Amino acid sequence: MEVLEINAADLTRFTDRFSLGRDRGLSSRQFLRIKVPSGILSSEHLRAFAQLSDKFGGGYVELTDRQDIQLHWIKGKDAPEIFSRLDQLGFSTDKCGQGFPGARYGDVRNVVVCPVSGLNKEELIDVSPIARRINDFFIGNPDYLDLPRKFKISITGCELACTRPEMQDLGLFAIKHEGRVGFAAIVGGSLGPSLPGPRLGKPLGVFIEPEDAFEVIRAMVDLFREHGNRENKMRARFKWLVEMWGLEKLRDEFELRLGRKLDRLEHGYPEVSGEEHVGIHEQKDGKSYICVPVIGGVLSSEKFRAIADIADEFAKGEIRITPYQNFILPHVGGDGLNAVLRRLSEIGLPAEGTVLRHLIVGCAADFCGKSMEPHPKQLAGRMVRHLESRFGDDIKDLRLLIHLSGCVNDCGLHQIGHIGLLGIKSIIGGEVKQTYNLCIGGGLGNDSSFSQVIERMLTPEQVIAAVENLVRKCLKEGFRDFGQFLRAHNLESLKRIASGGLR
Amino acid sequence: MQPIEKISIKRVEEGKYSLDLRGFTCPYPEIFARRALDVVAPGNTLVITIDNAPSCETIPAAAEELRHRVIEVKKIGETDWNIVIQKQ
Repeated sequence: MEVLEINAADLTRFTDRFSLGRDRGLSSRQFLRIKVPSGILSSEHLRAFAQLSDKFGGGYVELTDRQDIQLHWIKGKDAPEIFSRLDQLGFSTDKCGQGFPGARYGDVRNVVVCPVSGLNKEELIDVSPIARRINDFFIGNPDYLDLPRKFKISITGCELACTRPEMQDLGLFAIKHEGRVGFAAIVGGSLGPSLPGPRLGKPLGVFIEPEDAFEVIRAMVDLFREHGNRENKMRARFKWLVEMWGLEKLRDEFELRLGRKLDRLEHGYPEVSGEEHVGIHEQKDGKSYICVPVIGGVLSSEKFRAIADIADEFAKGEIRITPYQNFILPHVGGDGLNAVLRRLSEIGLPAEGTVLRHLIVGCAADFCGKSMEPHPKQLAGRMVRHLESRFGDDIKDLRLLIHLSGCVNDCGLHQIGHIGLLGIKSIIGGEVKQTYNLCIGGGLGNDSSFSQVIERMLTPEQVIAAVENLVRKCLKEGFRDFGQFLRAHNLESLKRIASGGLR
Repeated sequence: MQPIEKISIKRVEEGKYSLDLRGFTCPYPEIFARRALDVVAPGNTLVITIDNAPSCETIPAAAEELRHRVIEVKKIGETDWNIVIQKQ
């Protein structure tokens, strides 16, 4: 038989660590999601990504809530050059195995790590070394590139459980137990609709010594690899196995895999969870870190270069991406604080924004093609500007989580927002328009619950008016935490408030 | 794991070749398809088998960009597709 050949070695050296995902919006066909281990980047990385974005991604850059960098408008034929550059820089990407019809080719996604690990005076444990070990082990490891589906891990030593352990396949958060500091774990969380449906994770009920954390994570991923459902993609996420086995069997199998028993621990969710490190805080070494809000994580190559210059001058050339699509400038000396704040304002990224501006999350439905204008990130920006201008300083410190998703896959976390907005395309006056379902009451930690729909298919203007009505009432009643305001009212009362009393 | 050095394009009959790209995720099927279309002779048909659904869009788009004729994109079995392209 006649056989022709094509060269592959220049590309197959990349297949374990690099791929592109599918876009279907704004004329983008493929995206590049660069894993940023622990969310930590140098100014040189920022400049290199800016260059890649200028050359291949239209000068557009996104920060994601898994601390990745995302570029769009990537062409397959340019991938070899892009992957070579990323390889030189020491980065890799998600493996995007969801394009395959079966339950396979899942990888360990970027491990979400507290962005102020090692800096935070309040943290119980500096998880940086553990996070490094997890990343070094899993990234590109051929033994872990054919999981039944993707596997999401987070780890934090901070007092805010900023990494949202409840919505991970496996989330570790720091606790004190009988005078010892270690981790508790939550398993089987996932907000997507795959079976058995959206789930907050369940407390595993064991105490994990810091030196055991890596082995615990590895054993849990091994368990998923060996026992996760490979028959049906809809049943292939770890939450299905957790649900089918139940916690007791899961713990038994996990300890069998680990090779020893762990101390039992009565625990639930972290008291406080999924919070952002908002503001300026003194570090362990006396310097400060500054959290800079970025609505929807949307930046540009130009902004990346400007941030790199500020980081070089004031932050030892470092930035850290947060799980709220924001970034942190660490290591700022006392005499540099005012100058940094001024420079951030000059480049259009003021750090003194409202808490709302820090906590808002919007998904990239504009690029995946699930939404029309206003897309979730656009509506997020419009909402923040409207509420800030309407309520001024009154809203500055209000703890309010508004999360927007373009579809039920819930990449924008609408199910765990105080206010969750779910994009729905509706026919209005014979035309297809973008509308949103208004959901309220989601939260993590002590407030753990999924939001519930109170109004369906509102136009963007109606959504903004309804949120304004709710916020006005919250402020009038003197609440500084929107979650507390929600708990002080029943659903019917909140519906009336949202509708402006017209109901 | 050792990188694969070469990928074979097999002649199945006179003027017809097959390329099996199952197991590769984007963008690799598109890039290998472009390379294969460089190698086969004009007028010949290339049948590319893939199991990564997005490649059903990226490979025909690349073929059309290169001005070849996409004859069909056909699902075969539970998880695979054949993309048939005639090189112009």
